[in-house]
Amino acid sequence: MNDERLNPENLLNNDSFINWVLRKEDSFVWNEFLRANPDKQALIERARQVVLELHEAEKNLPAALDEDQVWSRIESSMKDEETSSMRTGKSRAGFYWLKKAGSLVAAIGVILGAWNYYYGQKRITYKELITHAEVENKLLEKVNTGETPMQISLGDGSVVTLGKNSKLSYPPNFQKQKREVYLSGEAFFNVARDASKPFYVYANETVTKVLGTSFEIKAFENSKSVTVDVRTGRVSVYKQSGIQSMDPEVTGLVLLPNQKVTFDRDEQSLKKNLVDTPLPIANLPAEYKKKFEDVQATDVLKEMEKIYGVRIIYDHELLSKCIVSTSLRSESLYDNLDVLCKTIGGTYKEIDAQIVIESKGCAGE
Amino acid sequence: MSNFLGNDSEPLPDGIVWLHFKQGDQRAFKVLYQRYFKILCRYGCRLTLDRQLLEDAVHDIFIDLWRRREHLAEVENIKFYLFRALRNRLVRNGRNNIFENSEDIDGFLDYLVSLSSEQQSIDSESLQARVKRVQDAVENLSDRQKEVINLRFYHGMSLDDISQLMGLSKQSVSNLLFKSYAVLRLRLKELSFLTMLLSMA
Repeated sequence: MNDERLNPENLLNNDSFINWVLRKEDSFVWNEFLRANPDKQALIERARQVVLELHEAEKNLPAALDEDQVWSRIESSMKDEETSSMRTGKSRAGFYWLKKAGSLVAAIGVILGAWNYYYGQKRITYKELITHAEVENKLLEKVNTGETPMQISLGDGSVVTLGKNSKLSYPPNFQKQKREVYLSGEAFFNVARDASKPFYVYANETVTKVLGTSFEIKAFENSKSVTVDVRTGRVSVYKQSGIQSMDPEVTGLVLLPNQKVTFDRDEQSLKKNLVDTPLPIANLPAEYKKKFEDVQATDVLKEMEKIYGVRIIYDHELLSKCIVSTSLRSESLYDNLDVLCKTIGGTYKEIDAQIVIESKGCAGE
Repeated sequence: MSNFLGNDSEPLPDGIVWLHFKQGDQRAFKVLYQRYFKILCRYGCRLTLDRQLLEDAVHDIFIDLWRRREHLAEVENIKFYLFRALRNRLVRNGRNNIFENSEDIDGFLDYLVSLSSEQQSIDSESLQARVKRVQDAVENLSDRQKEVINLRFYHGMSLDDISQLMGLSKQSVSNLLFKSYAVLRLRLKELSFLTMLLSMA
């Protein structure tokens, strides 16, 4: 020890001194020093007191956390961890984001990310969706236990027709940038157009995003699939993918009127088809009937494409030679197609939500 | 398998427990937790006043430890390792601005004003009262000063470890400590500090 440098503050900054006072280490050095410098004894003793007092002061801070309680939490996270790594070993990057997620969509995405992490491909329940959505927003819930569909008017002018055994949760007032509702069961949505505020329906593991349109969703908790049928407008449907992709919509499907998407909850896949009964997209009067006399079959097909908003693929050259007289009614696309195909001796099938017409044509006069 | 809790003999050294833990022994993991939980909390409470934030951070670092156990290196100083993990986690989990706060002199000045009114004799003070006064004095330090005092005098950390942990040079840590002493000295006029430091000046 250099005597000149021996002031209390230097002692406090001396590692060996601290070790000696707090851990009884290096006592040989310090005992020796005290023996050789009896005049410094008071100084050393006071510095020692300071260390001990500060130690006591810090030790007596209120105990912040409960050891057992934190341990149970750690244990349960460990269990979830094992389960998850056995199933998929998904990324868990989302976990820490959970607390920071600012917007509701981000929160949902992240929460689902965390769920995916914890439970692998666990199915997402309505209850889980609601629980986490309510962190941000109080929600109203309507449950239809009756036999008849229930009409629900949302704050933005949209109307939801809720099927039986179905539940819908929605905020009394939508947020500024988006409209979000949560569905369990089946419902028909007639969404008021508001391009600046997309409308999202969360149902099981799917998200359906629309600007303004009408469509039907079936998403019962115990069913193997989720289906979205589009009546009008344009809808995009995607899987709740957590945080893996920045824009989950990219991996989703865009639906046009009369198309539907089926989400297979086991395979986690989205498939696009035409709805079972494609109806005219414009509100045509029930007695609507458009007559065609001696026109090319292609003209009729073009009109059908327009009325139903469905893409019809056919050999233009071949079918333009078919001259037909027929009429289109405001009924299912398939009824009208049946009639036309009979007259041109062809068949049709649906591939990828499009209609493909097969016909040998009408070459022989 | 050795007795991790060391009921009947000397407790196992950290290094051995650490090895068992790395091999996936949950009991070893729990021993580490039991050995370091309180210590971590005693440091953590100097980093944030938000209990939930602290709990989350402690939970997260242990889960992270468990998850990455196979990839962890041998750790010489588990305490230091955990402290750094806790500090980093709290920085990342955000919300508390302790790490951005510069030295806050205002709180201290406020305190000085109120000080003149309390003139107590040390002799009459019980140990408990003295500790309380030291605590009050420490409360007047800036967040970083509190942290450095905690690491130094509660955990008995070396200047090197503190400088690594806080990401400061050793000289800065030393300065931070000296600044804290200066504040405490003024704060504890009646206590041993003052007598000691003035007599030496």
